[in-house]
Amino acid sequence: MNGPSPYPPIRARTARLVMLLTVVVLTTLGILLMTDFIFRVGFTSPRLIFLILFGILFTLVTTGSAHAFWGFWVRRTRGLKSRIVRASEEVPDTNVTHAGRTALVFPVYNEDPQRVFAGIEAVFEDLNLVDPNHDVDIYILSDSTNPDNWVKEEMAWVQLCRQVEGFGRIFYRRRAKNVNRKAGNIADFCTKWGGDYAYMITMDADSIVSGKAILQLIGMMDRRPTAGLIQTAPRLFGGQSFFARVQQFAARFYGPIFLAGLDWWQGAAGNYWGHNAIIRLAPFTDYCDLPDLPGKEPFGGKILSHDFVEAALMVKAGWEVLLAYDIEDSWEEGPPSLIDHAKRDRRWMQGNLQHTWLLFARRIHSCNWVHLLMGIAGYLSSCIWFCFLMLSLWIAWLDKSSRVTLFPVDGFVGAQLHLDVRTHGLIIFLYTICLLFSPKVLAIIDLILCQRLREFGGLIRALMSSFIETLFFTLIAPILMLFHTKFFFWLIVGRSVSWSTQNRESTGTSWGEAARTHGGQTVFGAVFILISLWLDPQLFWWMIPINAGLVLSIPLSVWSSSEKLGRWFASLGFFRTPESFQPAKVLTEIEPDIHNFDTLRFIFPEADHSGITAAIVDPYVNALHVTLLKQPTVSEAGQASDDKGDRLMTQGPKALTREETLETLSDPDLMQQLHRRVWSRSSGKHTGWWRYHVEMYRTSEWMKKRSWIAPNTARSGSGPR
Amino acid sequence: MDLPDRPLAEADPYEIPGLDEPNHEGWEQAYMAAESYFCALGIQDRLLLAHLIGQVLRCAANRIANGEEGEPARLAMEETRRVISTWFQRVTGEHLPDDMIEAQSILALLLADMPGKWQQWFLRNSEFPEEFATRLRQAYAEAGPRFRMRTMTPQILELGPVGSVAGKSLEFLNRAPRFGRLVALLFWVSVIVSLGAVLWGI
Repeated sequence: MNGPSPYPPIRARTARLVMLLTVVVLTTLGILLMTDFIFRVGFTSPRLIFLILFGILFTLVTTGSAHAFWGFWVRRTRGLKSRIVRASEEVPDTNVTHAGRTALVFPVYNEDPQRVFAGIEAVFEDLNLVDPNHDVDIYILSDSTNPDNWVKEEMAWVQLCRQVEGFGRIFYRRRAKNVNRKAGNIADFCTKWGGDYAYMITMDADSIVSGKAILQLIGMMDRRPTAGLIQTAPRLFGGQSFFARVQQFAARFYGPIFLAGLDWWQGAAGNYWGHNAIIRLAPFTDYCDLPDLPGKEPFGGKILSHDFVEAALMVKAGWEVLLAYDIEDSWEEGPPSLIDHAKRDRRWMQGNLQHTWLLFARRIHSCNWVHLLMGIAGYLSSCIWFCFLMLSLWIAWLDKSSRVTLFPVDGFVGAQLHLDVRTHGLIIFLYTICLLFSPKVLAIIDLILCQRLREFGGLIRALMSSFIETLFFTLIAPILMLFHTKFFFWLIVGRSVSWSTQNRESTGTSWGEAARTHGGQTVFGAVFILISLWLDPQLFWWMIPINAGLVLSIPLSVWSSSEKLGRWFASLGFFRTPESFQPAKVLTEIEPDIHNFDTLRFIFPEADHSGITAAIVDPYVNALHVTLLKQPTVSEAGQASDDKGDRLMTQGPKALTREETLETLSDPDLMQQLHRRVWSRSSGKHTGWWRYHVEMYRTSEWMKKRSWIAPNTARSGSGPR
Repeated sequence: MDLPDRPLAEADPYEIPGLDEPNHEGWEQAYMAAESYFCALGIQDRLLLAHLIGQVLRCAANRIANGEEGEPARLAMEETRRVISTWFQRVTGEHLPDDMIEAQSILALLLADMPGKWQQWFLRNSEFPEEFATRLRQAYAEAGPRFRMRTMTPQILELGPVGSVAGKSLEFLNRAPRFGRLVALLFWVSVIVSLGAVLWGI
C-alpha cells in the first residue's frame, strides 16, 4: 500500500502507553482513596481482601472510562472514520491489485432455516444490485443436527437458488460430524475450498452485511496487502422485545466512542469477534489452525472461543488485524431475553476462561494479551463482585458483633482535607459513579456534536431512553452477577456447556420458566435484604439497587422479554436506533424474504419427524436429499443398517432415536429404498403410520401449492461469473 | 408422451393382457399410486395425467402378462420411475450411474421448472423444445464446487514455563483421576481454610 502507514509503530506504542497511564492514574487515585479510608477505620485482614477486590473491580471501571475518554478525543481530533477506512480511501484505484475471489461463509447450526436463508437472500440480492459483476460466492456451512432443520435447509437452498438464480454461486454443504464446532466448520471450508479464494468473510447464521460493505471490505483488503483480518463492529438489529431493544439502543448509543478508543490503542494488533469480518485466507490457513489446550474441557481441550485466539495467532505471524468500526452496514441479532442472554454468556464464559492458558503463552502480542485478559476479567468480575458483596456483609457483621465503637483516625484525607469519614466515603462513591457514568455523558455529547441525535429520537427521547436503559441495566447487573457466579462454580466442578443454538426469536419468557430460573436469585435477594437490615439499616439503603434487581428478577425477566412492552416503548419513540429510524434496504428485504420461505413448512404435523417423513414421501425432497448425499463435496454420506429402515417402515419414525434418524437420513441408498417402498405399497399394506401420512400427502392442498416447486420467481438477475 | 394411436372410444382397458378383472382392487391401487406420484411431481393437467397413468399401467400390465409376479402398485411405481429415468437420459443425452439416475432425473425436473413451465412436454419423445432439454441438462444440483484444497496445521502453543508445568500436571492428574480428585479436594479445602482464617482475622 502506498503512502504513510496509518499504524506507525511509534504512534501505536505511544497510544498504548497513554491508555495504560490513564488507567493506572485513575485506578491508583481510587485505590489510594479507599486505602486511606480503610486506614482510617482500621486495617484488618478481611478489609485487606476487600481492598484487593475493590482494586480489581475499580481497574475494570477505569478501563471502560479510559476507552470512552480517548475514543471521544479521537473522534473530536481525528474525525469519525476509522484509520483503516481513511487510509484505504487515500489509495488511488490505479495502485490496487485485486487479489482474487471472496467467499461469504455462513456457519449454520440448527437455526431457523427460514430466517437464515431470508438473510442470505437479502445479502446476495443487495450484492448483485451494487455490483452485478462481483466475484463473491456464498457458502452455507451446515452443522445442523436436527433432522427437520437439515431437510428444510436443503429445500431452502434449492428455493433460494431458484429465486435468485444462484446455482453455481450459492453452495450448501453439511458436515456429518461437528468436529471442533464452529471453528472446525470454518476450518473444514478452508481446507476443502479455500484454494479457490483470496478472502473469506465470516458471518453468523443471523449476520447481515450490505453489498456495499462487502465490496468495501474487499477493497480495503486489496489496498492493504499486510492486513490479515479486518473486523467490522456489527450493530444489533431486529430485536422486538424490550430487552433486545434496550440492548440495541445501548450498543448503538455508547458504542462509537468505545470502539474509537479501542481502535486507537490496539492499532494493527486488533481482535476478532468471530463473524462480520473479512479474512485473508492464505495466512489464516497457514497460521490460525487452533491447537488443543492441555487437559480436558471445560478448561482444556478444544478452544471454544476461537476468535480471540485466531486474532492472536494472526498477529503473532506478523499480519495486521484491524478494526473498521465505522462500517455502518454490518449487523447481527442479539438475544431477546435475559435468560437467552445468560445462556449465551455461559458459553462465552467457558470459552473466555479457557483463554487463561494463553496468558502464559510466549510471543503473544501485548495487545492480544490484553484482549484475552479483558475477556477473562469481563466474566470473572461478576464472581469478584459477588465475593466483594459477601465480604461487605461479613465485615459489617464483624463490626456489629465486635460491639466496638468506631473511632476513625485522620489519615491523609482527614488530615490534609479536613474531611470526616462519612464525607470521605461519599467522595469514593461519587468518584466511582463519575467514572461509571462519564462514558454515557461523553457518548451523548459525541452524538450532539455529530448531529446524530435525530436517529435516536431527538435529545429528549434519547436522554429518556438512556435513563431507562441505565435503570434497567442497574437492576439486571446483579442478576447477571449471580448467573455468572453460578456458571463459574459449575465450570470449577467440571460441568462443560453443550453446543446449543442461540435463540434470536422473541417468544417471551413464561412466568413458569422465569420462576424456575430466577427463583433462587429472588430468595437470595430477600435473604440479602434481611441480613443487611439486621446488620445495619444504612447498609440496606446502599444495597437497594442490588437487592431490588434480585428480588424483582422474575418479573423483570418476564416483562423485559415482552414484545408488547418493546413495541409500546417504540411507539413512544424510545430506544430508537439508526436501524429502526431509517433501516438500510438490505434489512427491509429480510421480512418479505422470510415470508417467501413460508413454504418450507412441512405438511406433516409431528414436529420431530416431519423432516424425515418429507424426505421419504415427497419425490422432490427425496431426490434433492439423495442427490446432495451422493456428492462427496456436499454431504458426508453414511450407511445405516437395514434394520433401521425396517423399523421405520413398520413402526414409523417414532421408532427411531434422533441419532438413528440422522443416521438413516445420511444413507442415500436407504433413503432411496424407503422412498420406493412407501410409494410401491398399496395403501392396504402400509402400516398405520405411513398409510395415514401418505394419504395426508396425497389429499393435501399443500402438495399442489408447494411454491418451492412452482415456477421460478427470480426477482433479480444474478451476477454472472 | 405421445397420444394413443387409435380413438379412445375403441380402447377397452381390460383387453390389455395383465390388466385382468380378478385383481381389480390391485389395479385400483396401482392407478392411485401412479396418479398420486405424478401429482406429487407437480402434474396438474388432468388429460396429461390420464395419458401418463395409462402408459405406466400398460407397461406394468405387460410385465404381468410376461409372467412376472408382484403387486400391481409396486410394478406401476417401478415403471413410473423407469419411464422418467429413460426419458431423462434420452432427452439430455446424460448417462449417469444407475444409482444416481433416478434421483437426478427427478431433481432435474424440479430445477428445470417442469411443473411450472414445461408440463405439456413431460415424458414426450417428439417435438421437444430445445430450451427445456437444455435446462434439464444444466439442472445439476451442484451444492458445492470441486475441492480446491488448502492445508491447515494446528499451531503449537508455546505455553511458557508456568503454562507448561500446569499443562503437564493437569494431564498427569487426568491420567490418574482418583489422585486428581484427591488433589482437587485438598486444594479447595486449603483455599476454604485459608479464606476462613483470613476472614476471622487469624
